Amino acid sequence: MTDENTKIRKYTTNMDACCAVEREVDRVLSKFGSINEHASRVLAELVSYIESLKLELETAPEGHELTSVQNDLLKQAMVKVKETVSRLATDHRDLHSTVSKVGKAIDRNFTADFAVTSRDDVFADTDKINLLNQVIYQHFCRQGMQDVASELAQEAAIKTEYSSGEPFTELNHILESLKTKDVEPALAWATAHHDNLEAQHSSLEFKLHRLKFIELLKQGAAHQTEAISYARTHFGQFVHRHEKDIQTLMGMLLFVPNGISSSPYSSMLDNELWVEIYEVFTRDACHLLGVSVDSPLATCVNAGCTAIPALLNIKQVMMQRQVTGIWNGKDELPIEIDLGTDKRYHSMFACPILRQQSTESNPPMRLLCGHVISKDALNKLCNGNKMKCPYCPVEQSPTDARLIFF
Amino acid sequence: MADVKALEHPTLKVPYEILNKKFRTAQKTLDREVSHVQQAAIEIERNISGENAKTQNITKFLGGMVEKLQVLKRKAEESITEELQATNVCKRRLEHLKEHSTLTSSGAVSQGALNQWRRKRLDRMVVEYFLRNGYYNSAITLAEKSTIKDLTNIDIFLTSREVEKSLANHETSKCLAWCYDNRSKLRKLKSNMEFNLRIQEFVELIRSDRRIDAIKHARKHFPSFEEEHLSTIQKVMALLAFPVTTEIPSYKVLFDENRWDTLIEEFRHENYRLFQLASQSVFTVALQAGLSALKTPYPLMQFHYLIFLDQFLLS
Repeated sequence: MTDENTKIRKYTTNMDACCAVEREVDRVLSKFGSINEHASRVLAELVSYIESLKLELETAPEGHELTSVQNDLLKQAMVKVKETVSRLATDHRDLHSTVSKVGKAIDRNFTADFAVTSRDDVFADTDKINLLNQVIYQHFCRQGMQDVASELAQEAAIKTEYSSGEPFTELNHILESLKTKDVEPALAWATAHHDNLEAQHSSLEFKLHRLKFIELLKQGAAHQTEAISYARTHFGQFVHRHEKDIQTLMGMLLFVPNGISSSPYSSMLDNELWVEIYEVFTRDACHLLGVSVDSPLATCVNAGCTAIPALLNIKQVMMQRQVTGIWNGKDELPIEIDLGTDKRYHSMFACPILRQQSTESNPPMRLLCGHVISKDALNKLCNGNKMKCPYCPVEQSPTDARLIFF
Repeated sequence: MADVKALEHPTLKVPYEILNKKFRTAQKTLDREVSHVQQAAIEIERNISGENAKTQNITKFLGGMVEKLQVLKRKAEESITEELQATNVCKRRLEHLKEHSTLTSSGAVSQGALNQWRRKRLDRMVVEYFLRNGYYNSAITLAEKSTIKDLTNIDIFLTSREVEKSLANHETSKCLAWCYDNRSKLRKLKSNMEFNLRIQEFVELIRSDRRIDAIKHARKHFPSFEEEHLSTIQKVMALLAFPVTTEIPSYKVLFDENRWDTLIEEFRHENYRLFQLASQSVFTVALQAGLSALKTPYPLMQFHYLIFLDQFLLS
């Protein structure tokens, strides 16, 4: 429940911020639009006005001098020209406040100094930059964007021993086709992995067939026989899990002659289904192949984007209380950040003896009796090549302890 | 606070700054053309106020005025169209940001759309990171592949690439043109870019043993910086008294070729300030926060971890 609430709250604050700026942008658009129209019209009028004056004077014989009427007319015309053009320049200048309101709205609704949470020396030295570039390179290989990866390899001089290879090549190909609304490659893949997908209760295959069926219905009454026979061939096997969905799908047939878009089933034509299938395919296929859905880079950056708002808040609070020294950016974060359940990867082990979190150099060790302590604690408790478990009196050799992984 | 609010300031602020600049240029153009028309009007008024104005003469003047009005009309249309285009860039970016919270037909926030939006956001961030590090071709390829060219600030970085290149070739003209182009803004930011370029020119003249030219150069350009930089100017002028091979440390540094690299760095920095870009890319900031938030042990030291994160995520 709370999860849903935070989601909605974030949704509205993001939306509000965008809308506040958009209001000002729209104002600029409409004002510039109308001044554009106004300027063209007024200037065109002036041009034809002066041209008509000129035409009139041109009919005069050679050596003719202006009559006093013509003189007055010209005087008026000049006053008008001067007024109109200077008004134009002033009108445009007055729009400046409208323009600068956009800038103010941006500053008010978005944070300019998001970088205060980080230290700028972290990615400063060449070693770190090389490493980072390598990670980015791998990310794009995995993403199937080989041309970006190789361009980067060249420009950043990366050693390219890493190859993404299978399984990502195939997955990326299928995802590309899904983007262009072609289900065939995905369907072929799902059919080939039918048993495994069933085993993990995936509805991927059904959802692909569903899309195919909807595409057939979209083509109108001429294809409905085809649609029905497609349903007969493919939907039967899913009836135990998707009965309700199948009923809905078949219900659509009622409205084929009059158009589904004006029926209660119009939501079935939504683009949302295509967005969904892309996600479902990525998730289920990655799960089946035992790879993570997002690349490490994407995971990490997305986690960072979730964390930054919280970090900005805490930073501000710390500045107000003047306790900035507590958090120097080197150690752990001063607060726990909730990244959502899908970002909980592993538990941490804290040694019950030393009360410290385990690290690579001080990993958790399982003793013969089953109790777990950290390696440093183990070394401290050693007496020659004998030790006693601090929890139970079992005597053992420290070499019996095994490194364990969480 | 939410992530769009926290991270997307530069996405919107840069096109706004461009719009603002377009507005100023448009105003200048309009003012200039308007004054041309007004001058023509004054000219005609003067001619008809005297006795016995020749009609023929006046028609000629009127013809000139029509031309000037037409120029004004054309320039006004061009400038305002450019302003509208710049505004539309803001608008498009806002629309993209709003896709962050696409609603499904049932009224819930669409997770699928959000995930796709996040993928695009990562690409946007990486493009900016590439640009800041000078991997221009990678940036362009990625932006085109991911169709996010409109949403990234590639253009301003490509302009700055030209300037950086010329500075690397020990040329000051492009950078000076840039200074001139953004003069009022740079003055507001109290930038020393132009002053440092002028010093470098002075140093180069001495290096090529054109000391008289150097003095002329100094006379021409240094006085406008006198108020703020008098002591620096005095020190630099003293250079005239020393050979290029001088070993006196405080003068030797002035002859150092590395000063050109410093100028490039300074230019980059000033360009970021001009568009209110932070000194770090959003990408590195987010990555750092992510490494910390995921509690990768000792995140900042053991950055190598990321490489192995793939296996790590599975365990």
